[in-house]
Amino acid sequence: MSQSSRSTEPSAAAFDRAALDAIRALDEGGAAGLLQQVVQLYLESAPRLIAELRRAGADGDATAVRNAAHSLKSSSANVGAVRLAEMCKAIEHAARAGVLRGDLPSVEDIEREFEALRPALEREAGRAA
Amino acid sequence: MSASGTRVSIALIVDDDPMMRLLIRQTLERVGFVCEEAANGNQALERFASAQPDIVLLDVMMPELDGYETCARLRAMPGGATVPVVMLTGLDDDESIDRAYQVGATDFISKPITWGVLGYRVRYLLRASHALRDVAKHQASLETAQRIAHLGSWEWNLRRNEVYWSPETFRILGLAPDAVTPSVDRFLGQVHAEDRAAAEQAVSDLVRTGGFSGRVVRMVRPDGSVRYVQLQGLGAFDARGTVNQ
Repeated sequence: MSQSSRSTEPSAAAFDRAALDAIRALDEGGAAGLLQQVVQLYLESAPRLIAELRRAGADGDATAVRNAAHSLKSSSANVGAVRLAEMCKAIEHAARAGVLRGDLPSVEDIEREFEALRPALEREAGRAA
Repeated sequence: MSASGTRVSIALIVDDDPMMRLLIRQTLERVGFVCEEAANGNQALERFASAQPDIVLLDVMMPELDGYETCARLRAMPGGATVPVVMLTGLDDDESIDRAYQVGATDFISKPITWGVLGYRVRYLLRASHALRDVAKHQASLETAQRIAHLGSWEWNLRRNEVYWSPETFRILGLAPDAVTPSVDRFLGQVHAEDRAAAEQAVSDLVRTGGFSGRVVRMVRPDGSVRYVQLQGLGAFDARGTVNQ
């Protein structure tokens, strides 16, 4: 993975900054560091959920896949990771019907998408209020 | 700031995702709520009993005890029957929404949540629930007052020919509430035969002139006992000056 921020900058379609602005607006412009806390929680939980997706997928555990995809979808949407949320939604819906394979994003796709977003999110988390 | 003006409103936030709880808490605290949190269904039931919240925000998808089951159990708890419960659902299918209402949800909000709207929505739901509670309370005190005074009231919608009798009216007539459909004919049928002409005159006066008062008639109850009843009526007029109620 490249460390250059230029090559890891996510495309505009993958990232909706309005979601982050909405969180900032809840916090009178960032006084309480809400956005930093939210992004920090996301950066901690997303890798855990991706690992859970991988494990549950390998075990053929549709319920666990569904739950992990649901959680990652929900938290990704909150931080504006819209494409990642869409990918998780596709996996969640398929898993709800017991389907784990087929025309679905792979765990690798999900991981790549998350890693592409990470630098931008880390900048948000580190940004001074 | 408080919802009722006398005390602060408490919201119970139930979600297994700490980010979600943090964001909802921040949103609701901004509009004056004090927030309690629970990370799963069982914890929610405990917190509900100890904190006695005014409103509950309940995530649908939680491990073990999910939101539906939590809502159903909460409804059976003391104080749980009337508290507004808002289900938070990321599921956009009709079946989940149906199920939410079946287990007693008051409303649902779809994820992702628009934070600006959430605060208003929750405030509105709480106000609506307070209004319903107040109506129920006033209804109960009115019924008590009528029972003490042996005063029965009635309403007659002439356009639809629909009649409402208060519980005390049923009692005066010696009828079990909901046992019969109230109607003017039914009422007149229970007036003592010697007083019926006077009662019918009162009804026709009411429709024609919009009021009568003070007429005392004997009512015969199904068990044969007789009650002396003073009849009073006041008409409401429509825009053309016709009595319609």
